[in-house]
Amino acid sequence: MWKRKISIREQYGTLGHFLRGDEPCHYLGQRLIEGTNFYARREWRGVRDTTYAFVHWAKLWVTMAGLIARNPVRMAKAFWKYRWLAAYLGTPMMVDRWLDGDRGMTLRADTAAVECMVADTVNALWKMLRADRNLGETKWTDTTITFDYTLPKHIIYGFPGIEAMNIPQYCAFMMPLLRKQLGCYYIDQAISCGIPGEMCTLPLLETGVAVEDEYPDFGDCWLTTNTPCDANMMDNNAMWRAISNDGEKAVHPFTMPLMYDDPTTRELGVHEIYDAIEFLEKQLGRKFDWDAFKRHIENTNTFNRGSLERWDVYANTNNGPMNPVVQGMWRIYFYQQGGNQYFLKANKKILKIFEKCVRRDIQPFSHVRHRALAWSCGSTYNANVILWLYNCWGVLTVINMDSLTGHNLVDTSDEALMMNDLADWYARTPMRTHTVGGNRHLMQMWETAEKFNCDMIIMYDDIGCKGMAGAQGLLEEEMRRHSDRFHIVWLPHSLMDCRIVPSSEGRKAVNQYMQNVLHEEPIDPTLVDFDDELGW
Amino acid sequence: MKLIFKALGLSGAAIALLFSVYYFNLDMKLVRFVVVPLLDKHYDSVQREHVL
Repeated sequence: MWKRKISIREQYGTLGHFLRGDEPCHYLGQRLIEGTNFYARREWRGVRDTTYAFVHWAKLWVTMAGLIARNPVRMAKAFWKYRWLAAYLGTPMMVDRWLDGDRGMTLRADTAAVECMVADTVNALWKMLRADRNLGETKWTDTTITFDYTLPKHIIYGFPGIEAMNIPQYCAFMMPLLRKQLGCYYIDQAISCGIPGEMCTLPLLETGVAVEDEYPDFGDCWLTTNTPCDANMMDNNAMWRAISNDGEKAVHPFTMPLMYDDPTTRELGVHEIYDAIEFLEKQLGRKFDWDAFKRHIENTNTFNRGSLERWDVYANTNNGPMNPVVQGMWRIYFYQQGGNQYFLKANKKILKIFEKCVRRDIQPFSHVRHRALAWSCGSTYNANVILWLYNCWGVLTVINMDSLTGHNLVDTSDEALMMNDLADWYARTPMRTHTVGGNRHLMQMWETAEKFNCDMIIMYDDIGCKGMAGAQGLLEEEMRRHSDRFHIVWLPHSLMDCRIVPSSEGRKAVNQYMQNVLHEEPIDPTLVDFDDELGW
Repeated sequence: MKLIFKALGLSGAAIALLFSVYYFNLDMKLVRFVVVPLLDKHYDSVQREHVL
């Protein structure tokens, strides 16, 4: 039975603090059920913010119930067939972890972004499942096609009425975010087929879903890609067999140059986009609609202008309201989806919140001791560790590496210019922009940290990433050179497999640095050391 | 008037009930301890052929 470790009187002190939810320390760790990351109670944020969070939670369930309500029989069949789909039942818990400690403007901005991502995901899940042959052919089966996980959907907007789904994103990538053991489950299925277990765990997880035969089956063609890195290409054989039904569907490799900022390769990138469009025209039997495509690109530009404004606020003020985990996830999620109606709506709402914070000089994060840049690829099962960093130690991650991708504004005034900019967009995916195409991209961390006025760098150490492991010596050398300007902390993880580097190990590395090197006291002592191995 | 009071009372009770579910995290406890174990039992019972 769960019991409070800190009494209400000790935590809040006065009735005013209790009603406003602005007590000096939230003692977030005391709400956890022993050995897990499950909350015995949801957070009390004061009357106003708890009401706001409660309404948000109710809306979340209504949105999720909307997925079932569209076709209850088909959805029941889908839940019966796909293990990965059950993970989505844990969405409210994932959202709770992402909103830990949020108050006021932060809560408002973060819930707007979460509502956008949830609504978009529900929409995407429905579009996949309604077209799925495994659940019965429908009129959508032929008009819905598959895109590889890291391939943004932009070009499909040139074929109005056709839907493209980044199928591994929903069936594989999201698993450890929602329920970390499910990531391990699928990884084990891939390894049981003889695939070496020490490679990047992302393709292992995607392959695991393939060998379990759990990818929905729709459309008659699919587009694969070489982004973000060679690890993604390693799983293409298994993915090809699973998604193309052993070659029954036409497959087109939409490859992007690795040396993306070399002017001689840009031309190649443009050629690849035209090739992909031609492939889709043949497969779908219709011409590419340049006007519809241009409208989509302009919508995506609108979102990107908003992103640039938001980054400007983060870089130059302490008024940025979004917390680090929601900010990062929202941006990465957008990269795949582009400027669709959900992102445009949330972009507008969140920009207004940013403007209000700047105008009134509201500083939403009152416990900031350090401003940090998170660099390299972050973990999925431990994605909220950067929010933990703030809540426990006052380290506010103002920007992360994977957010800084695909934000160039595309010139739509001329087709040649547009395609040139688009090639750049496609080549710069999350987990790729700064990790391939030369060490100079990786070393952009120093200038980025300067631009965002950071005094700390959180260096993710994905121990399964061979590319980053190859740069470790170089990084260590560079870190020594910059050690008088920045505090640099390695944060180990294993991307998708929580058994290799448990979340607690990542936290331990940070704790040791904060206590032994910086000699700082935690802001929330209940978060320093806790066991969440049996959690989701 | 009686109808209005009745409607208000019912809405109040529904909100109170929903808030209890929210605050005590009963939705996620139900999913974690009942729904997912049942579904997992079903998924584990399905024979699958692992082919790469």
